Amino acid sequence: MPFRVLIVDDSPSMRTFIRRVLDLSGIEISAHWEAADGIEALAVLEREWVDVILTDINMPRMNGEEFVRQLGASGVLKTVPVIVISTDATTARRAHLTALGAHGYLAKPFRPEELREEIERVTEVAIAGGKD
Amino acid sequence: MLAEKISNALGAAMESVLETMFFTMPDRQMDNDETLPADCYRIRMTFSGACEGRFEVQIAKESARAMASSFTGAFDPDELTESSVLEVTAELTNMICGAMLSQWAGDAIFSLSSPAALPAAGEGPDSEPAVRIRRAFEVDGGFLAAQLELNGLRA
Repeated sequence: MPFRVLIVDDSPSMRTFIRRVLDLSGIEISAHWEAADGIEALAVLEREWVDVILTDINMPRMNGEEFVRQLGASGVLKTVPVIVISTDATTARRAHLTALGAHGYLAKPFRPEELREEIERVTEVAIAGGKD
Repeated sequence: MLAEKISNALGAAMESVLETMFFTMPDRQMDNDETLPADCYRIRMTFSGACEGRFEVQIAKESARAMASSFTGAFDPDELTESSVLEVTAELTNMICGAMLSQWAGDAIFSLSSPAALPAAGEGPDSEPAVRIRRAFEVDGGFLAAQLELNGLRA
């Protein structure tokens, strides 16, 4: 199944890297959008449906934590699988973001196959009926 | 004991980030008393939470450009602007710092500042830290060095 992906990160080079890793991972991407923060990402989601969201945490204006919180508070968008990609691999941070509504969590550094596995895992959850 | 544990976590974080995110490996570990060439970029960030301190990366400019090229997939390293190279170097710093803290204290909560570039020949430390750990490697024709300074801990 080709994926429609939204990449949210304030670093253009990191967005380029994630796009490159998606290619390397073998995942078929039918369309992708990029946003520099949560506000831009929500604007994209007002006009486009995506299969999975990959978001950073530390961003200006609206950070990843608030972005995930707003997705979780939305009736429609909370069913879209969101994977947090962060340098913070601590168990406390993972648990906090998961409690806010993140479906997946990937700590940098990560290998292409780890990104693929996480996307496959969270999209299967979504297909099965979404996260409670 | 603590210093050795942190040093091991720092070395492992550097190698892991280089391998998985920059598709390269360190060529040789450098001795701590080896003098680093002055033609380099310096990036610093601070962290707070379970403990406080600052983290600094020094990287040879040619290494930074080569690694930025690998990271972004740029065909020709020379096509990258200096600001792009610095942005990727800031990401490198952020990733090594985050990976090191997660390996060393995976159950703790930390808050990290944004990485910021410093002049190549910078000032010395504001005050003597309780713990200072430094690891350096030869990589991509130059070098990569990382230094961690912790306040309020004893090695």
